[in-house]
Formats: sequence, C-alpha cells, structure tokens
Amino acid sequence: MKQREEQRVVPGVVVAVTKLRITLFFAAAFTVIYSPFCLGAILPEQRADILYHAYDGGGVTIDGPSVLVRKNFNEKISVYGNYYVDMVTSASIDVLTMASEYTEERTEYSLGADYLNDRTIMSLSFTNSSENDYEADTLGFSVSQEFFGDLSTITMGFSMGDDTVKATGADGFEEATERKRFNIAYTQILSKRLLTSLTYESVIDEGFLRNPYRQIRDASGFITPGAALPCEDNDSGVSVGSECYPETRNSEAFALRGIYAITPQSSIRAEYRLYDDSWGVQGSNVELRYAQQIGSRWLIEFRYRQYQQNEADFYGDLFDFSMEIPEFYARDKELSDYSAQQFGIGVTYTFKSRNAFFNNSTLNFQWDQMTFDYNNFLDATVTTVTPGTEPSYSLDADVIRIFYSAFF
Amino acid sequence: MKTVSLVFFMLIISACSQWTPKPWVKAHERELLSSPIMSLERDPVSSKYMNHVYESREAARGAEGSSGGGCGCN
Repeated sequence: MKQREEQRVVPGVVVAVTKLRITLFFAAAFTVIYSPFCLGAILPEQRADILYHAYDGGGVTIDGPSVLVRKNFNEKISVYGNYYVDMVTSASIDVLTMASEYTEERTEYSLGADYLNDRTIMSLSFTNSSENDYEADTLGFSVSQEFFGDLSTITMGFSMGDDTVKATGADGFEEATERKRFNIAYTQILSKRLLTSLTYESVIDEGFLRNPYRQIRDASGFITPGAALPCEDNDSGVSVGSECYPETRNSEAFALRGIYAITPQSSIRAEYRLYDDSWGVQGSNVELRYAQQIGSRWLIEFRYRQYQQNEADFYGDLFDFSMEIPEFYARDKELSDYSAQQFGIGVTYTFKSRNAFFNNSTLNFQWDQMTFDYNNFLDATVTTVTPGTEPSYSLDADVIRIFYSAFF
Repeated sequence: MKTVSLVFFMLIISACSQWTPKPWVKAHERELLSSPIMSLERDPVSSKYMNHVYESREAARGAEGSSGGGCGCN
C-alpha cells in the first residue's frame, strides 16, 4: 500500500525506473543470447594498389595517380598509407562564363591504422589535402563490432575536418570551414547467397561554404561588374557579384545495399541512397551492378547508376536584384535541379603466380560514361539569345580507372 | 497479480528459448560470400576515387564511404 502511494506521488520516477529495468533486461538478454555465437573479426587484407584515374567531361580534365599500401602486423594491427593526386585542367562552363582556363594540382596524403581486439576493430585515420587555394585536414575514428556468429556487423565512425579556403589573385583572402561527419552502418548476412548493409551518415559543415570565384547572373543589370553584393561573405573584397551562402549546412543520408549470388560465378548488387539537407536539397540514387566470373582468372562487371536531385532553396539561374536582394543566392549547377545517368564496365584479370613479394595480383580496367542533364541551369555561353532563354546545360563525362593490385 | 506476472514472464522465457534466432549461416557455409564477386566494394582505392567523383559533381554527400577533404571541382 505504501509502495502504491509512492507511485502516485512520483509517477515519472516509477516510469523511468521501469524503462531502465526493461532496457537492462533486453541488454542482458541480448548479451547472453548472442555472445556464445560470436567469432573473431579479421583485419583488412594486406595489399598494394597503383591506380591511374582520369575524368574528362564538361571542359574539365582531371587525372593522376593513387597509391595505397596496407601492411598487417601480428594479426592485431593494420596500417596503411595512400598518396593521391588530382591534376586539373579546367575550362568548365563556370570558368568559360567568368574567367579563363586554368590548371592546378591537388595532392592528398592519408595515413591510417586498425587495431583488432577479439570481435572489435578500432580505426584511426588522418588525411591532408593540399592545393594552391584550398587546404584540408581530416581526422577520423571508427569502431566496428561483429556479433551473432559473424553474421552481423555494426560500424560507427566520426570524423572532423578543418579546411582553409584561399583565392588565387587575392593574397589576403583566407576563410575557414569546419566539417563533422557521424556515420553508423549495419551489415547483415541474410543467407548463404545474400548480404545486406544499411548506412546512415550525418554531415555538419560550418563556415565559408561557397566557391570564392563563382558569380551569379543578374537580369536587371543592377549588379554591375566590380560591385560587391551586400553579403557578409564579401568582406574579403574578392567577391565581385559572387554567391552568398548560409554558413551552416546539415545533411543526412541513408543507404541500403544488397548483394546476391545468382550462381557461384555471378552476382548482382543493388543500392538505393536517400539524401536531404538544410539547404532544401533532396536527392536519391539507385545503382545496379552485375559481376560475372569467367574461369578462374577473368571477372567482368556491368554497372548502371541513376542520380537525381532538386534545387537548393536559394538557387537561381538568373536573378533580378532590381526589386529585392535575397538573403542568400547561388548559381552553382551542383545545387540546381538535375539528373545524371551512368553506364560502366569493368574487367579484372587475376595473376595466380606467387613470388617472393605477393601471393597473387590483379590488373583492372574500369570505364564509366556519365551524362548530366540540368533542368534549370542554362548554358550562359550562348550569347545570341536573351538571358534566361538559353538552352538547358548538359554534359557528358568519361571516367577511367586503371589499376594494379598485389596481395601479400 | 504477482502470479499472473510470473506466469507471463515464464511464458516469455519459454518462447524466447524456442524462438530466439540463432546464426543460420554457419562458417563452413560462407564460401560463396567470401568470393570476390560478393564483395560490396572490392577495391578501396578505386571505390574511394568514384565516391570523390560523385561528391564533387552532386550535392548529396554521406553514406557512401568516402573520406578526405578538398574538392578539385570548381
């Protein structure tokens, strides 16, 4: 009776205690039920990769090498290093309408380590990316846990990035951007032939988030060349009719992936990803891959991917500032309403011969053809018509990867 | 009331022991899953590069497994 009176006096406490008990019960039950079936996890395989990549489309050519070496020690620790270069020659539509062709180089170094303890893998990574007008450092940490007889894996990761944005031709210009990422992935073996994965990632960007070079178009002529728009980003003095972005961007993405063995020599992989951010952009992509083993040495793969997104709240192809200047405005085609299609094919040849350095190796060729159709980003290089009546812009791009991988 | 709770609890325990899912794919049955054709991403360097291409050309980012900074997309 006394107990019932106490429950009436502090019902919130009782509910909380009850919830705690239920939680503890299920936690204990989960541990007891599943722990006997847990087996050990394994580190990523030791390998070395030498890759040449090339992107050619929309007046932009980007190519360069990427080298990865991963080495394991005592079956407990795995370390890796990655060297990556982008050599860029750009005469993109943005460049053609605002500036002249340029070349630049981006170099990226990544170092990382994984530590295996029973069923848990803890990973630490650091990446530095450097180009003449952009510097980025990213530190990442993740934990991966296998359970339920190795049929299930949960991975949680967090990374922080500090970027420094500069502008060529404006020595005093320097802005900062902070990036944070949190992700969680759940992978489940559903049968002897089917593997699935569900991933969630949240990204928070804060600071200077626009391109310091890109400019908007003003139909009214209110913005004259050389004028600085009343945007807080424009204090630097490099902004001449430039864009104006919010200083925060939060996004969420969900991805569901599955791969199914049709036969022992062939598989089909499917992916669906959903995206949403605080700038009003919503996007999604679907991807299908078919892989076929031919004999013991050849593997071919066919891919199809489709992506679509709507425009950001503050995107516009042609503004009219004579009446009102909005708080934010952008003319980045990557923030416009558009769709993209991609077809790809890949061929892998396996060298079975062992030598003193590695067990086997593969030679790979991957080619993808991408088409981007922009619905409300107009081709401003067409100057024979009234601004705002130009045809919609579209571009085709070829992406090639050629790489040699050795496993030891 | 206590008796009803106890019976209900025992029923749950009984049901759990019978219906609790157990790992249904044994280690020796995973040969197919370890095949190269069954890897979600076979080659990390290659996948990382494609994710970089997507992130440079699309507003969407996240849940694709890429990392690292920089853009190279102006």
